[in-house]
Amino acid sequence: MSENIRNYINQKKNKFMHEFASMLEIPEDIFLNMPKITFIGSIQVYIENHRGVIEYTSEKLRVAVTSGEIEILGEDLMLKNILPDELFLEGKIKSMEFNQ
Amino acid sequence: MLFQKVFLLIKGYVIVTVEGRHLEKFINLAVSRGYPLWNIYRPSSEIMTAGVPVNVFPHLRHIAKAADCRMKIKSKRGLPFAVLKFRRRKMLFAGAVVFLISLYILSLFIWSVEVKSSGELKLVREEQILEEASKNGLRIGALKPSLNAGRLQRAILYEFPQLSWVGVEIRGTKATIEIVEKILPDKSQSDRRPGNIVAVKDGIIEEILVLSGEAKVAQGDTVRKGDILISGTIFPKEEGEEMESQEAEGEELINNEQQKKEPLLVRARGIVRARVWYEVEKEVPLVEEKDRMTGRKRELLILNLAGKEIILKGKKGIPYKNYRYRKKSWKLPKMGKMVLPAELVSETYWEVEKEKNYRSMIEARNIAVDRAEAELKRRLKPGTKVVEKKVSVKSLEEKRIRAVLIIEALEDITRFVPMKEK
Repeated sequence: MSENIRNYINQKKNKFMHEFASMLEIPEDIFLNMPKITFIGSIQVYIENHRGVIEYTSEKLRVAVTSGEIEILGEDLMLKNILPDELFLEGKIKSMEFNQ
Repeated sequence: MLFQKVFLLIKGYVIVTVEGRHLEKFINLAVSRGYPLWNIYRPSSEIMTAGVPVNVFPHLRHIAKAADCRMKIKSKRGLPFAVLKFRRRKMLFAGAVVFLISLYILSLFIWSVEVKSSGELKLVREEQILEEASKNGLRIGALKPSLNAGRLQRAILYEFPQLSWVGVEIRGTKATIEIVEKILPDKSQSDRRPGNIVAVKDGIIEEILVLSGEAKVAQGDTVRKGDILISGTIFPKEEGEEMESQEAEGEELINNEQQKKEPLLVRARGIVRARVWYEVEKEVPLVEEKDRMTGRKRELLILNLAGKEIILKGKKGIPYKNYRYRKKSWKLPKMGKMVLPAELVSETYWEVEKEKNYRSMIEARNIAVDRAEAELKRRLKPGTKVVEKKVSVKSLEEKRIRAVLIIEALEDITRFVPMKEK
């Protein structure tokens, strides 16, 4: 029960913050702690504001982010660089998915 | 990024292999503690490779233990490891150092000395210059810092008054002594030996001017080669005429008075112009074979080592029927008395084609006359005046044209011949 209430409050809070941020034209990735994902073609991905690696193989990368997780599928994936809040993936990228 | 890479190479890094089931946990733990990892790759589910800085590696051991993984070093890279390698192979390092030092030391010496001049040397010999240079320290094996180009120049110039300029240039291990000889004035002006002036060729005297001596020929005389034109022997004359002679030859006055009956010997001087003839004959064929280069060539480079031939480039044997050929060779400089038996020979063959060149009679005649005139021009002394020119042309068997050029010229035919000592 308390889990549901917390989720509800979180949703309300996020909505409010989102509206506040768009009103002041503040970049939302900073304000809402949202991940910022940059693709360079289908060969490189740059993810800022991640919360850790959930799963990593040469075909799949799952990364925890503020609002769930990101799943990237591909071939020969290599984590070129990884720091506490950013990571840089290289390889043949096929798809990306957001899981709430 | 480049800067980072260079920095990492200087600091050194290792590539590790991590084995275990929870490799994600290993990554997360390392990253959350702030240990950088890069080039993480997982070829199979339980093996992963990653790059790690050297100083971070010991900390990762604890993390590996916590994540239930085993960690091994796959390879070590960067400067600290290279230094370690060199420390183990001391002789290699020592060899490199010895090589550099010996290169430097050898470059301190002069390995070849060369004498250079713009023209042929007439007044000095190359060996003399080299010997003098060697006396002043410039020789094969001399230490470069001990040489002073300015001082050497002065020393050589001082020793050889025949030289007007000496330049010493040391470039690398080669010293070049450049010399310029003085052009000495004509010796005949100061030569006071008595003698006659004789004719160098046949001719008819056109004009004669006596500066000293006695004229033996007059205008209009025909002379032959070797005839005396102006004699250096002056026979004493009548008393009345003596005065003239005294004025002309003041220097000989005392001599003259002492031995009145004896003939006076002087050096004959004067100009004698005579009509002389030149004849030049030139033949030009109507059909001429000529070589024409086809542009194809073959080059051959051979190294001769103690009698053995090593072909560096090209093939032996001449591939053309008609060809022109040039050979060049280079030898190593002599090291004192020792001659190194190595020689580099370059041979070049150019293919040529025989080509027939047809000419008309008029063309052939013109060419023959032109060639005759060109040769005449070479033979005539400067200052010669051409008085008359005659050309006769003849055709020989319809195959060749012969042109005969006869020239009548006015030229100085004098030559001084000293008298024999009694």
